[in-house]
Amino acid sequence: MLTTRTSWQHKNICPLLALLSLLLAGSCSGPPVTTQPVTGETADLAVLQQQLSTLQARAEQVKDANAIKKLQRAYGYYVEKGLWDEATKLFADDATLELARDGVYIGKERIRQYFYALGEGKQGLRQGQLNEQLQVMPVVTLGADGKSAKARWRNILLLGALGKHAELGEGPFENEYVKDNGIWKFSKMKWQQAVLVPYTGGWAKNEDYNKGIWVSGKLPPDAPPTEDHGWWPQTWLLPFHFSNPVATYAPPSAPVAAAPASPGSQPKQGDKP
Amino acid sequence: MIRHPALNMLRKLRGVALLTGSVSMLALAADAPKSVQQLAQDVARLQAEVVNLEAENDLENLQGIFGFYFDKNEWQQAADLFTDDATLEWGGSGVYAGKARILAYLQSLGAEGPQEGLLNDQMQLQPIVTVAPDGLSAKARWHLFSQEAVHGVNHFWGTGVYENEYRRENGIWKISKLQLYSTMLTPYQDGWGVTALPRSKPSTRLPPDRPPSTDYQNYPAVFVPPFHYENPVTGAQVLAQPAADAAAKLTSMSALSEELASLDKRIGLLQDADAVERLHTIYGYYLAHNKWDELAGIFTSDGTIEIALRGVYKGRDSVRRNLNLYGVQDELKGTLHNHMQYQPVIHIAPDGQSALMRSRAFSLMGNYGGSGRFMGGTYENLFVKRDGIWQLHLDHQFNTYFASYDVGWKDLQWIAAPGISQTNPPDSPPTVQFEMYPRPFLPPYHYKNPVTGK
Repeated sequence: MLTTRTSWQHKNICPLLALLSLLLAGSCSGPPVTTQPVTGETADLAVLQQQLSTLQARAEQVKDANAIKKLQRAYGYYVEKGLWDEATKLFADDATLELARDGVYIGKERIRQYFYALGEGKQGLRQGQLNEQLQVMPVVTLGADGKSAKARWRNILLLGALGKHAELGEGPFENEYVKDNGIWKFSKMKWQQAVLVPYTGGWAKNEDYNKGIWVSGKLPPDAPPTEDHGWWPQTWLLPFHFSNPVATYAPPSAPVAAAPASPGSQPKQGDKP
Repeated sequence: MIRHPALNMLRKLRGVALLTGSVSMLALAADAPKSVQQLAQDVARLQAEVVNLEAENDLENLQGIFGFYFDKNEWQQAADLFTDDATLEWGGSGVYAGKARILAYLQSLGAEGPQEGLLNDQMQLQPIVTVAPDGLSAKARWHLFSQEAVHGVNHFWGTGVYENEYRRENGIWKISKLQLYSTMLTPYQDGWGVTALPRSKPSTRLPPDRPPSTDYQNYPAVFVPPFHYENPVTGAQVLAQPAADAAAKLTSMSALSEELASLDKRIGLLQDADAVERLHTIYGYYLAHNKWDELAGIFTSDGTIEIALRGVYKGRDSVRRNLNLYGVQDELKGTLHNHMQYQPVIHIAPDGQSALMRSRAFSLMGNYGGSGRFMGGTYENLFVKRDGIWQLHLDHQFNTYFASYDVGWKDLQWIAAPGISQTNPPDSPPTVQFEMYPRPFLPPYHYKNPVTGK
């Protein structure tokens, strides 16, 4: 069955035009030309080869998005069990890590130190510790270079220690990834601790339980937080890396306002401090 | 699982020719043309890759479908997703072997079908699917996050990790092994800081066929369920491997051309599935931050939104008007409005122009100094592709519950969903009058059982 996605599969497509497009890096999207003479198997093969190359590139994009999702999910499965060494391996050598309000840790070795600080120097969870961190809601955006990507995720957290404390929380990641020698890695991890509150009473009755500070007191960061908007109940939007995939809504055009603004209509700018 | 480091190396080398853009095309044009035989090898490899990418999507659908059946005690439907020789092991239940025994186990959990006073939301999250090189079997790790209640009796939070196996029989994927490693179970009123319940024990009423395969304990003990995969960065990659005779079937120019046309369509459908899932997830992020103009903008000009029995708002202008019911655009001071979207079961139409999706909603809502609440629900949405861009055409949510944080689900009094607004009314009444917990209701499915077609 033919599809409308490309016209390359039409057997009668002009091979010369196709070869020319190859050289010009264009795509043969014009109307099929049927009157050109067939120039032999070599040209036909070149057409098929180009068609295959395009399909391989498209399949590679699907594989890239899947690999990035797998990477982030693997991160979640390692971190929730305190497997810091495995988690660290997922980062590029020059990656940066910025979780909550702890500031920025630069490079793989510092990221490893950060994770170990979370685990109080030890690999694995402590007896009686719960560290569930569910990685959900991926929005993956591949870079045009085929070697970089960004993704937004949501982390759901159920943390605590039996007989001591329990917290429920969530927050978004805006992460960046790099394809290094065919393998996707984290190049930048940034997570906003939107809310993390004692389970008893939840977000209606509690402020953030650690004000977004985890280990920076004992392991100072390499750079301060890239932005700081406080902690719950302070709310802010970690900007989306993606643009609207369809369009931003615009209201139907209002009747033309012919009259000049009356002296009573104040500009809005003075409304908020 | 068979691994192919050599193939991985080959892939890396071949990657040079995979770059998009003018540079690679020029480089490609400079290459000596390949022979039909060489081309056939490459096409066969791409074919195998596409088969495995399709399998990843099919398996995410399959596990999601299992989860939605489990939610509503649809035991027969759930059991039909297994191979005849499958095994099931749920926490400390021990092993039930064979489809008939799996059905018996599931039936031992409660009466068939949605039940009055029963909440059993079993979220299937965070999939890592690994398809075998031959595309005939697969393994997957999933996260379970559950909200369970018997009205007036008890209510729980639960978490766990699945390590499951799947097999393709006559082209249809089935579950061949379902193993849930339970992690945590706690009564809602206590939470995990106060009470941790032990993992389940083998039933005496319906003893398993084999004792538990793994000796472990729930939280507060620490246990790491074994991983079926190696570290994705440092471990060997699992790559699709074409069948030995795959290339031999592509010996003519016309056979190659036909196969490429077929792959063109199939890769298009894979990209469509990615685009639809991405769009729906973005919907969730816009909703969570009161980005009403952005949210209304992803609807078709004649799209509809129908949520919480508020009725149907038709057309993008009405959709935008509907969103005013949920708060002021961009304004979220001290307010949590997190609407999470996950467990999508997506079916793209063969022509790639429309898609149906069932997915799960879970919301954390409320405001500081006021009150908190949870919402659970199910979406059945329709997406369409217009001018080459996927858009949301029909957004329909069946809410399962709105639960006050302080009350949870055990003593949640039945209330109707919010219903029609008098000040901002819909264009038409709700298309389906659904019921919320503790009353039973089964949101209609857009799909049939993928194994039985029922």
